[in-house]
Amino acid sequence: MSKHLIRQTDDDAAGSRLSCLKKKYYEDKFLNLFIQRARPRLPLINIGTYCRIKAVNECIQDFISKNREACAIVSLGAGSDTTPFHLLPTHVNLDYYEIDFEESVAAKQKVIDSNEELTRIVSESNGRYHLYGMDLRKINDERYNYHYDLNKPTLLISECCLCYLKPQEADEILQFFINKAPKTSVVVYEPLYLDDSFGRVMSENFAMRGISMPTVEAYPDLVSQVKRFEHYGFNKVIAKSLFTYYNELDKDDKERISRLEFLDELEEMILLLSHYGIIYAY
Amino acid sequence: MDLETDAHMEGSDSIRSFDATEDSGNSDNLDSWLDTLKQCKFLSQKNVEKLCSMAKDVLQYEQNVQPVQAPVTICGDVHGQFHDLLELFSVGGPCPDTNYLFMGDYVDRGYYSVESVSYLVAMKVRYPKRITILRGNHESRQTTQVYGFYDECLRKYGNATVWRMFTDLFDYFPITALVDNKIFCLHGGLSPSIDSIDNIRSLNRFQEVPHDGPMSDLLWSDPDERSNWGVSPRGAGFTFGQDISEQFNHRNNLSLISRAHQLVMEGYAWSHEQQVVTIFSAPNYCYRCGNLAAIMELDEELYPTFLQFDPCPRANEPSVTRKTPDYFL
Ligand SMILES: C[S@@+](CC[C@H](N)C(=O)[O-])C[C@H]1O[C@@H](n2cnc3c(N)ncnc32)[C@H](O)[C@@H]1O
Ligand SMILES: [Mn+2]
Repeated sequence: MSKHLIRQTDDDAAGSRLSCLKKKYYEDKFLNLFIQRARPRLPLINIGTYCRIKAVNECIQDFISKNREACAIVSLGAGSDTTPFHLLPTHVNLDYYEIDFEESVAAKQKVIDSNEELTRIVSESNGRYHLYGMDLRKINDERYNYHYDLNKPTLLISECCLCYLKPQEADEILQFFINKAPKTSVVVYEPLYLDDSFGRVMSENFAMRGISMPTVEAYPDLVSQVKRFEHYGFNKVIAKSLFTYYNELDKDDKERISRLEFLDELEEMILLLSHYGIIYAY
Repeated sequence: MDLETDAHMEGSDSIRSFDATEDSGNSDNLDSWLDTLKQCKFLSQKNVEKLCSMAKDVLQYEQNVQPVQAPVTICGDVHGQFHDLLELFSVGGPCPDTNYLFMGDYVDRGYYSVESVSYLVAMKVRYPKRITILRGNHESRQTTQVYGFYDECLRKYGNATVWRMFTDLFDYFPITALVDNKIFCLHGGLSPSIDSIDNIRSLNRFQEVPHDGPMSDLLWSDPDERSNWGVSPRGAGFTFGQDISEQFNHRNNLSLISRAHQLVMEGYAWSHEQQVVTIFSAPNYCYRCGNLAAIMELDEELYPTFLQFDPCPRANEPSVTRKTPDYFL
């Protein structure tokens, strides 16, 4: 898969977030700085995007609440995620590392530099925010000898990033950080079940856009995802589909989002959301 | 941002020609329109106008509970998958040799809503006794503005007039049908405000699908494993349990409720111990779901046979018009 195509997946992620935000599923005062226009997505995409954002956030909140004294977050393939700008001002013992391709990081830096509030947040963080540009597949390459101070509880986030890599590459990256940080947690969000009838169409549609997900082929379902992280020695691995996550939304929130838009097809949403998983290991 | 705009374009719609038949409406005309449509070319705006006015003349006399005689082949959602609609007719047999009853949702989601709805309406006008077309929840002004028909009309005709003509016509579509007084057909499902089929006859259906109330429920509700009435996660209509279906069928002396509206992977699915059947006729729905489609043939004795079919081969669809559906990346 070409770097161009991989980087472009962030336009898709950010576009979905903006569509979701415009329909008032959630709020994010910084998103608009990174993306100004997006075609409106279907309600099922907005609902799934909302669940994804909420699910990852809950893992982050859980991690932070357990490690208030000091902790670090490393976001692999951070794209135009705005999470650090929300967290850094209120969590003064948090270090935040974002990694993406050089071009993506440069674009992000430009947005930060051109906005007063983001510039202030970063400067007031006193060096707790790090934005590193590199191909993660070169993680052990000396040329990218970036500084990481991970001698504290560390959360690795891969929100649809490692799935684009080969299983060995994903493993090498995870292993690198697990070795560096004595106490690691991981949250991974990626597709599942590319081998059933819905999943096959999904792979075909990805392929038409030049996207492949070799790691998903290696870990095709929640059971193999759990095994994958048990291998790294995590005590607890929680793996849920996005649909389970949707089901577990609290009643009021579910009712609130059901009022935002008419959902024309429930089964389609169940299928789509069942084909994404959130794995939280610690 | 390139991807955003690219994904939004549908390729060659605007260059694909439409027909040039501009003479007055009669069955010759209809046949030539049907020929045009069969090639997946859409009608000119002027001809759509003629077609819609002819269709109103036919549909205004149909009833809220339109009587239909067996044998008839019953079909579910089509959703603008025009090539698959042609496949449906080749699987089920050509109309008028086979009688058809479509249970709504002709437009939205697929890329050929204009062609699909034009074709079915033209068939209705050409063979009014041979084909019945009910209204689905997507045959409405509001839903089509969210789910694609409105945008498609703008793209193909350059203005919203055709969308307005069709959505005005949708108000005339019957909302339910009754096959030989035994099989009750509709798009969605039952309504807590409707006990008997006679209640439906007294509704004024000639309006936009309301947000709530009996007419909305008939087009939006779903059968559910839980008993009684439930809140629908769709934001409209209700869910209804087996107890409700049993009562309704018993009270109205029915053998079956036949409905569409829900994607089912095999194209059809029984529920409520065969009191309710769901039929879905859009294979690989939205070019995303990987499902089979089905239609239900009823013979003179109302005995059902299900015919399943796959998406028609991609070759028929120009690849330039294929955009891939959204996922979470
Ligand atoms: C689908 S986007 C997700 C962005 C963000 N995590 C989110 O959820 O909104 C995937 C991101 O991973 C980055 N990425 C993928 N493979 C990478 C690699 N080998 N090295 C660095 N970044 C990579 C892409 O550039 C892109 O920004
Ligand atoms: Mn429907």
